[in-house]
Amino acid sequence: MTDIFRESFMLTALLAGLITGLVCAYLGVFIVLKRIVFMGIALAEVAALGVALGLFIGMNPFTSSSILTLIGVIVFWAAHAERNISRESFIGFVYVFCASLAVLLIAKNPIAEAKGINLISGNLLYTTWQDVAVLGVAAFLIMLVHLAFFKKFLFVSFDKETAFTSGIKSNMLDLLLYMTIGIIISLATKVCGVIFVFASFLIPAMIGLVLAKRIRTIFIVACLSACFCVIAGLTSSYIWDLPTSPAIVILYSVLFLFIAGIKFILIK
Amino acid sequence: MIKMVEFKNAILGYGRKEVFNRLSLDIYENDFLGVVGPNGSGKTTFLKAIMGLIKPRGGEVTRIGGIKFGYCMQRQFIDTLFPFTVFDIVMMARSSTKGAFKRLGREDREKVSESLDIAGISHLTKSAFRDLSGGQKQRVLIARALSLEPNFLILDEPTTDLDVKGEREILELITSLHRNKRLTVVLVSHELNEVINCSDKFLFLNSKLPHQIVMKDDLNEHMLSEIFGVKMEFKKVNGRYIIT
Repeated sequence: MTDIFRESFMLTALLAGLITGLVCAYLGVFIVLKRIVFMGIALAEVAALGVALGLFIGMNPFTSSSILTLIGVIVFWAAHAERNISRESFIGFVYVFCASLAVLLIAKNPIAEAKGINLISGNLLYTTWQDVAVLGVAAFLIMLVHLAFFKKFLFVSFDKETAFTSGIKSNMLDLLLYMTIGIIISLATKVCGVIFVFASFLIPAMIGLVLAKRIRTIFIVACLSACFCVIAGLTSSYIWDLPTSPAIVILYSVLFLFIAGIKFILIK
Repeated sequence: MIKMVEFKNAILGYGRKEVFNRLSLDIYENDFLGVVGPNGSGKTTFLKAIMGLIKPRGGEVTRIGGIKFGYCMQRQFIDTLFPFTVFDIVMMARSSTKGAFKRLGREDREKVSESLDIAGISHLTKSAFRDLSGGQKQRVLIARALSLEPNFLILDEPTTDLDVKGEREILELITSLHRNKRLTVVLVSHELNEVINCSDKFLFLNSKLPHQIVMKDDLNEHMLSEIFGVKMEFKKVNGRYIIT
């Protein structure tokens, strides 16, 4: 199996996949516990629109995607339910609007086609060393922020009001948490595609919640399952000539169904 | 007496709704204020204004420097998806005392252990919060508030959905904290009978009537009947007040 990753394009795909999988799986635990899963997929679509827009107007797609996603983060963080329109409806609107506009922009842009950009399923095999470097630096900074504020992020996510009364700047920390989510989404979507990014947020966290009882263990299980699926998914994609991101996502899903099934049988 | 919180002609509300119009009230050190009113009368809005979670639209809400709040939110609103143990939840509050990159240490564990002892739930330290009974959950929230060594304890509907025994035990715990630790307490409830025996000052809320601030010694049947809009009887049996 190690021979597969001696090929340069597989090595960059592996590194990008592992960085994205690990960071998204870790942040995904917050997303699932905070019940903001739909915000996650809507932000992934905002990032996809950013990439498409960047390519369309001749801007660096990482930059355009980051700008749009951070605007999206602030809007979602600040948005409150209106009397007639729920927050979920607004997030749904952003999702369909961004997804459709991104498809239109890509369809009318020959450069995107030439570069093999596939925003929905991604194309990990096209990952460059520059992509890996950008993702690596972002992951390092995100982890640094979380190392500094992990306990406070948990407190704010669990009970924002009490955290505030205890002297924590809840709103600022909540925004910082959303920002870290937005940054990895905006950078990873171009490389890995919306489906892989969203699945990495969702499914490893679900595996962690099914398998572990303690909060720390949930984070560890989520990260380990993401690593395992990325390596196994890339290997199977190489051997059987499958699209990489969907192969990884299917492995996530199979692993989740297997673990949840075993647990269900054991409880019965 | 030290004035901890002062409402001066405060206008409070949320969204498009105005809940209080010109509320003036002082809360002094070691006061036990009972806030009573039906659902939707603005009890939680009042609490949020005390803690600075919402700003007044008019007038002033001022707090003394050095005030340390211990807040027990309505436990029904706590998300049980989070797989926290009792220890995790109480320890969580200690994170607010630490700066970035600072780890929680032995002193924090001792404070948590002491708070669990006071709340009478040391034996539940490793239990999952979501598996506890309503009364036990309430004690965990009180322990979490105590772990920060507050001088001002705020409790939002702490006895809702508890059985009579659980309700009595929680109120006894709160009363003993008020007496022994000399905490200023604000307790919100929609049941007057719950708070009548522990509070010494009351804020009565009713969305259809102006709010009323009454001292315990001034309570009488006529006043209560007027506030609640139904005939109420007010008796003292074996040293305890009973309202029917």
